[in-house]
Amino acid sequence: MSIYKGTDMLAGVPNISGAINATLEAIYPVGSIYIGTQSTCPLATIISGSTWVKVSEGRVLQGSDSSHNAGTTIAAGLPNITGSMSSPKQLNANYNLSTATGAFSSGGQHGGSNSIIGPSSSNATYQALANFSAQSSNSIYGNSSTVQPPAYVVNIWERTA
Amino acid sequence: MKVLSTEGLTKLIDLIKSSFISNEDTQATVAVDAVETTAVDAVETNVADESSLTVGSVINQRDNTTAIKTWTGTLAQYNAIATKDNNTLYNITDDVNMSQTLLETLYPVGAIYIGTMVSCPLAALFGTWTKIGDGRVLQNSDSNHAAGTTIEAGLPNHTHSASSNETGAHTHTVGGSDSTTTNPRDGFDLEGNNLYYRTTNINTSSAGKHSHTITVGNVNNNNIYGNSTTVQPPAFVVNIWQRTA
Repeated sequence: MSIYKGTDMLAGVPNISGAINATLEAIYPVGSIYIGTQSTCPLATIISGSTWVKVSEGRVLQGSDSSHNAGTTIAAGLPNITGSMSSPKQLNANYNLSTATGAFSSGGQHGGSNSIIGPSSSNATYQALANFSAQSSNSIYGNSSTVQPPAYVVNIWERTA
Repeated sequence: MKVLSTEGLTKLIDLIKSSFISNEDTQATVAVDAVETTAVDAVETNVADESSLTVGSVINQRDNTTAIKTWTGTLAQYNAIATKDNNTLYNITDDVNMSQTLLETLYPVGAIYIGTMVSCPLAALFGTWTKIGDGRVLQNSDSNHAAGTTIEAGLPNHTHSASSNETGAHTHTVGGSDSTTTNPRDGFDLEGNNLYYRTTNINTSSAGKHSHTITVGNVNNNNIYGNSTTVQPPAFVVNIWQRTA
């Protein structure tokens, strides 16, 4: 086709915007992402018939992988932090944590067996156990095996040739 | 879709625009009508020989005197023209289409395309596109991270300490009592065939006020902690620009 022929010339005016629109359609088909600092998407008024929805609010864009498909979201997460600790051994005394809050929890009392330092079977040592799990304080911990900000999953391509 | 060459399109746009320059609405209408009626007649001839064009068929409205001519040929023929005429519409029959030229300009090698489609829509039009950044966020480059590289996840390390220094000087008790009153023992003592040991509690010597510290580093043996001085998700580094003018 040559737009120089016949009535195509008359169609030249709409064809200009049509050509540009076709180009923009090629760049921005349904599912494409536009990023800018403008308050509204400028393409909404440029590409006729297009609808643009603000997505990913409060989220970073993250490339899709086998576990996360494009168009889905990922909640924030961090690896959990766990641990435990015990008090010094106490002879012949029940020994429990009196207070454990937040990420701490009581692991109960450990011991009661015969003590090697005691002179008789009546002597025993006890230890108080404290467990730590950051997840108990904030559910972000343990929600990921990496540093995961709240994310919107997209497909990312790089032109390599 | 086949469309005008870039240059051809530009000239056509200029032609249309020139019809409206410095004209009131009524004048513009007249100008457009003139373009439409005369242009169709002119281009229908599809003249390849510039010398045979009739001056006046289409007038450049910018100066209202220069004839607009048309030219049709291949890209090779077009490229062979040493000096392009500013008042000629060049119709290049085998030119890459304008859209692709524009796309090639907007997306050179190294460009990034982002979408939620399963495949890059531009791959069918031009270039080779490789999916990147799986499981990674995009992060702008800086002096430490060049575009095209990746950054592994990291967080500042956690160090926790607890101390017991509230009681001041104190002693620790050693359990037991003396098994003999005649010769109190500090601990185990072998006298002859007899083993004596303490059966009453005694205190150790005071160590004065001191603290016990527990330090936790490299939490859970997870290398993420301590791998960064900030909150660093796994990232793919790109260059990000903002148009400012």
